[in-house]
Amino acid sequence: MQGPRASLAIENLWKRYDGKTAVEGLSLAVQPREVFGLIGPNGAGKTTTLKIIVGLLRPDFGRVVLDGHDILGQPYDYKASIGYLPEATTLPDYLSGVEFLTFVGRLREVPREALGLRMTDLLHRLDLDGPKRDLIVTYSKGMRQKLAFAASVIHQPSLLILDDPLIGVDPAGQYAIKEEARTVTRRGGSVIVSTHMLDTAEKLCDRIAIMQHGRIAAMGTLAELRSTSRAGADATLEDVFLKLTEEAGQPAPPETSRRTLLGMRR
Amino acid sequence: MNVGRIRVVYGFKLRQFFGPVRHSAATIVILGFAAFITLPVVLIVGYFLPDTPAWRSTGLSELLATALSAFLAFDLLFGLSGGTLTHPAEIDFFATSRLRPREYLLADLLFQFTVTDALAVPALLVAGLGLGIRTGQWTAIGSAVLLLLGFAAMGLALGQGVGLLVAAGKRGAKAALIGLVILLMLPAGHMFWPPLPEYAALPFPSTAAAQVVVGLLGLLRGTDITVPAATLGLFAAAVAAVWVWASGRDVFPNLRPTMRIAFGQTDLRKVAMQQEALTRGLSVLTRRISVDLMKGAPLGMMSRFHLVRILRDGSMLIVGLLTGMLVLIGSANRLSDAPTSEVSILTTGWAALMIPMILSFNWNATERPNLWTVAMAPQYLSTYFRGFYRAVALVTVGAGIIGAVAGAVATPLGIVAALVMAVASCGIAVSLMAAIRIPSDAFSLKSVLPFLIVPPISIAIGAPVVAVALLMGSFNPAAWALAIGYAVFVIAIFDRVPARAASRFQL
Repeated sequence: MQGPRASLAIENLWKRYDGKTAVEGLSLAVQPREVFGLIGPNGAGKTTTLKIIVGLLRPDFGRVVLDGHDILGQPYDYKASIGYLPEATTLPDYLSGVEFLTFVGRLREVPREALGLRMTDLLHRLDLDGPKRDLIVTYSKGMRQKLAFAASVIHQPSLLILDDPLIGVDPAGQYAIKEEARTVTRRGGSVIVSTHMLDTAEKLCDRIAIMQHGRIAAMGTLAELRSTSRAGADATLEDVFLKLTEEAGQPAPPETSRRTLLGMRR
Repeated sequence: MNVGRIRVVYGFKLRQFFGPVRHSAATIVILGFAAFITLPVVLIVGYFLPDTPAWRSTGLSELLATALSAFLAFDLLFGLSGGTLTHPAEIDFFATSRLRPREYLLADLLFQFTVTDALAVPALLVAGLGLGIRTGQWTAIGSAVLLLLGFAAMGLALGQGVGLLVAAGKRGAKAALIGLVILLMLPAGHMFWPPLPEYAALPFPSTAAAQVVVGLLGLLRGTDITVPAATLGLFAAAVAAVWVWASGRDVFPNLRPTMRIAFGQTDLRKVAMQQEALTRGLSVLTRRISVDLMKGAPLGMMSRFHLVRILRDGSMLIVGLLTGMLVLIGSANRLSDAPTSEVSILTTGWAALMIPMILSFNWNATERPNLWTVAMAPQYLSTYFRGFYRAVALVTVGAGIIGAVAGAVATPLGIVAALVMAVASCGIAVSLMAAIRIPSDAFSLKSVLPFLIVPPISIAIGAPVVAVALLMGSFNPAAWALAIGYAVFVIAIFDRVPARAASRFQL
């Protein structure tokens, strides 16, 4: 039986840097109305995957399909529907929060009258309406992260991609960010979130992929992951993660599939 | 192309870059004061330009070609870091929108032109005004200024175009670019080694631009400028072709965050990071030079460590630019009809004072926070600063000698005086940094301290050599013996001072 149409599908994605494989034959599908979690140790290939989706990296091989369109064939227009919060972003010090959001909103082609309302709403919910006219250079780390998040959702994207979104953010800010992510899914969109905060991933994500060495070690709902890992019904995501990554850390079988790809490029 | 999006990106870049000016009344006052001081001087220089030896020199076109080649070489070297002035937020939030690469690159090119010309245009216009008042050749001067601005724009477009090819990892692009820079600067060596061809003998765009400018000003008597003008036209067409080809690709995956500072930024850490970002393209050279920390005595190891750090953190870019200016001024002086030794001594002395301060400020911004590693082994703290002093002294004296050789008209004792000053300024600058904790994230009274202390004391320490030269004559053997003895004494003293200052070091 055919399932619901995936809003995002990644098929056999490969990426190498300087002779090292960062992403190795990755395939996954993210459904509409779903918060999809990507977790994994440092260097597992999470950020590389997200950067390929948003067009900041070119894969060596594979397909990324958003709502039926191959994004590598049409590398610009699809970006209108995505929002991206990078890991450890650097914001322009000498703009105010409002100025920065205005620039991003105008580039995202949000109508001017709607942009003002949207900014007011976002800044209020993220508790940034007080310092909104202050220069970003005066913002704390958490305030910067919240402002960057506001910039990533200013145009109400249907696919929101968050790379470690809660680092340095206070509990109220974390709640606001998670609420805004859920708003995206309530509107029918999807969210992909990469995080090292496993308790957050456990509560926020509908499905989770555990990545290691550029591959998916396991993927599914928490219940499915518990079953895969044989970690027990009460196991937390942390228990499951440690068990699965330990198993995935064992020596890999011969890479026949990679050999077949040598010399093949899109 | 969507003009609205180009305007948004250009507006963002401008507002970010000129942010400190927009938001700080003090910065506006300082800039206004600088303009008030500088522009009348530029006007006077423009007015008296026809009286200078360089203006009447037959080598004027060659000198201008050298300067324009250096400008073009700098644009090409900038291409090594990616060719665009990109703030990290532009990659994260603009390159992930529907913006097209060509829209982004056009906005970036406009921005590069605006920031590079923010200082050059007023200076050129005011100098042109002075020259116009003197000569009355308004049309020729206006045309020359426009041509120089057009040449600058072409250089920027070329730097961006080839930079994109380098960033895309095109095979051989980096090597070709470095080869082009060497080729472009090779004729500058004609001043030192005549068998090398001079610019006038080569169909370089910089030669053509220089000949057209000098021709427009009526200084190339009896020479037709049709050929150089046609060469320049061909160059413009080639640049346009490279740019159109390079900008027609998806460049966003190759954008590099090269723009981290704003005009008037007070955070010296970010200024240092900017230098590093701009020279990252040269990592193919700098990474190959490594330091074996297992070899030799601790002092030698520390000196080598600092030399490699200076090379890698981008400080060498500034040293290189200052040395280039020394060579240009020295060569211009030597080739003029009435070369004077004072020019060489003054410029070498100026570099001797500036380079140690730049290097020590860069150290304070980037390395000081990392010094907990050395502070945990305090017995090596004095060795660390002694090594730092030796590395800075080596770089400064090296730059000074290159400048002195380029000038080649200074009296030897004058050069010794400048080099004694260099050693003293290195010792004092490094000692100050060791003894005083200067904040690197904002200007403070302490930040000004090295500028108040280093130059006067260093000049005072160099003064006895000048006195000996004046009183006993530059070629008197006794004067030489005295000067060399004094230089050795100064070197020996300052080899110890930074180590003493290290005892006051606080992280």
